[in-house]
Amino acid sequence: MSSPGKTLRLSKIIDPDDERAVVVAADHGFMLGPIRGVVDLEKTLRRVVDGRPDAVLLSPGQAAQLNHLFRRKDSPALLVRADWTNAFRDKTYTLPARKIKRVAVANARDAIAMGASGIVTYFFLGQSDEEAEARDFELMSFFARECRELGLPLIVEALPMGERVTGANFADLDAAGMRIAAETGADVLKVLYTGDIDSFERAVRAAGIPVLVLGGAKAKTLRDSLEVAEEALDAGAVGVVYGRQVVQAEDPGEFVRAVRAVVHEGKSAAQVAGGIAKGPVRLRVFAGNCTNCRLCEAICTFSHDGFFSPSRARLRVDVVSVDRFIPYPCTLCGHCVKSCPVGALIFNPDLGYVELIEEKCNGCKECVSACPFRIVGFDEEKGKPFICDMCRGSPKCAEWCQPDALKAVPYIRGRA
Amino acid sequence: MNLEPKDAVALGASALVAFLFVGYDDDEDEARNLETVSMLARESERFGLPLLVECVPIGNRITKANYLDCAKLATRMAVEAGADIVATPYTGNAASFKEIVDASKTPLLMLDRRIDAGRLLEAVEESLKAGAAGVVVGRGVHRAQDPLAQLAAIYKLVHRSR
Repeated sequence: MSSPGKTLRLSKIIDPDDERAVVVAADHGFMLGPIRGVVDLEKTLRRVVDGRPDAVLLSPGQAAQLNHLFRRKDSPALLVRADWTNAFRDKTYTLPARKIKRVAVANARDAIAMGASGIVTYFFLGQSDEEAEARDFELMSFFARECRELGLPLIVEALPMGERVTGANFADLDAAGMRIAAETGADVLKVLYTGDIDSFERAVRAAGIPVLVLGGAKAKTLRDSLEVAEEALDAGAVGVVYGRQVVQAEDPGEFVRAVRAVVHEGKSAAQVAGGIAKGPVRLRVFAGNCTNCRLCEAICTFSHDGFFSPSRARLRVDVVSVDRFIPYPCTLCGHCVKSCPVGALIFNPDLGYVELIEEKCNGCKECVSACPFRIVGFDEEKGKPFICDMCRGSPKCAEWCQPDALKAVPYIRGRA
Repeated sequence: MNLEPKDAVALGASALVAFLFVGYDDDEDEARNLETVSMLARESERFGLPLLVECVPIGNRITKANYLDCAKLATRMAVEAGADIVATPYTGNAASFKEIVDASKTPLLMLDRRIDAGRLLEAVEESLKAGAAGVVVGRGVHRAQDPLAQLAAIYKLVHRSR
């Protein structure tokens, strides 16, 4: 199926030794003009290249102009952006897009002439104009055919984009776009994380080709970016594509080296970036198995409080419909730890679960409102919150869950 | 598009020139314009023919407040698409023009669009100070009282000599 040309060029992008990749995207100027970090692209790229990413994505014009940065034998592979879009010019932009447009700006032949190891094109799913969606698809299949003929890897950036994208259909659109691109002939996908490990794992498996995860604008710190990488790899991705986080970092080279440590060397985000340690276990949810028996809630309160009281449980079960239930246990996200104004909540340095230092707690309830899953409760009598402590390493809820809707798995990354 | 790069070669041209406008009412038009510029860039690479792109923010959506950002967007889009030289109208002051020059990192020429003939030499001088590589002049020269003298004066400023 795969041609020798594609295989050889792909090996410059995804390291054949560990089947992993760290890619830096630096094509922002094409879509958004000279944003911070790419005003002097050459200066930034020199530092990026110093961190030794596996590949760097540039627009055709920059690929030609900055060719000299890729002339070493161990230089990163060059990826060329083959299309342009106004889709990222949102309402706050100086000239906002009124409707999403996308056009081809180079073809596979041009990219090969530039020395590229692959081309990257968008595929948007979720526009209200279905004609536009069809044209988008047509353009992608045109690139796929050309790449097949020339033996050039095609990387498709499949994104839920447009008026019809909602919070509720995001994960499904993401998965659908990935599969459609794979069926069209993409060799690698560059996609957004669905938001949770289970749906992403399903989407990756359904796509059946290597998946690179976009950092997204949400990651604010190096540690956030590394955690995205950690989780994505856990869900079966082969690596990451980071753009703004890298080019806008104080030291882009250092940033790339840190990402490499997680992606290629298997280090945890905490090991690389320092800070709080999490684990050794986390709770994994298999919502499809949940029967709403609520034994998890019962055993949680029994083991912590000595009596059965579901309202005091450190997790909860949502009833979505008559036959669909979702358990929400603690994900170790750390929002409660960050929200505490007096430092009474910490991650236990040895065991990595959340711990309440009762003497410090002033009962302000910041942690209760900070919890995104609404599972931090409050003991009005004692004036203190109650917080999941992972039963100090062996969560009872998972132990007692008969249908295996909750499982305790190692927190440290390793493919499930 | 009224001419292909190979026609330009046959005519003995030293470069191709194309417009890139931003500010169209219809985003479709901007996309088509960028597509044309990109296609010319790819073709001109094949022929080894330099491509000059004149980047102009224009139309109802362009205001005093967003002009500079739009000019920076347009010139940078042209550079990323593959322009070898870009040109854009002088913004009226050296500091803002320098921002455009710094963001393009490609030889940039000043356009004399909407500059009074009387102020042209001053504008040329300022844009050169801001880092422009030269000028593309039209009306500013052929509508001058003495076009030849005007051109000679500009030439002297740009080439810092003769």
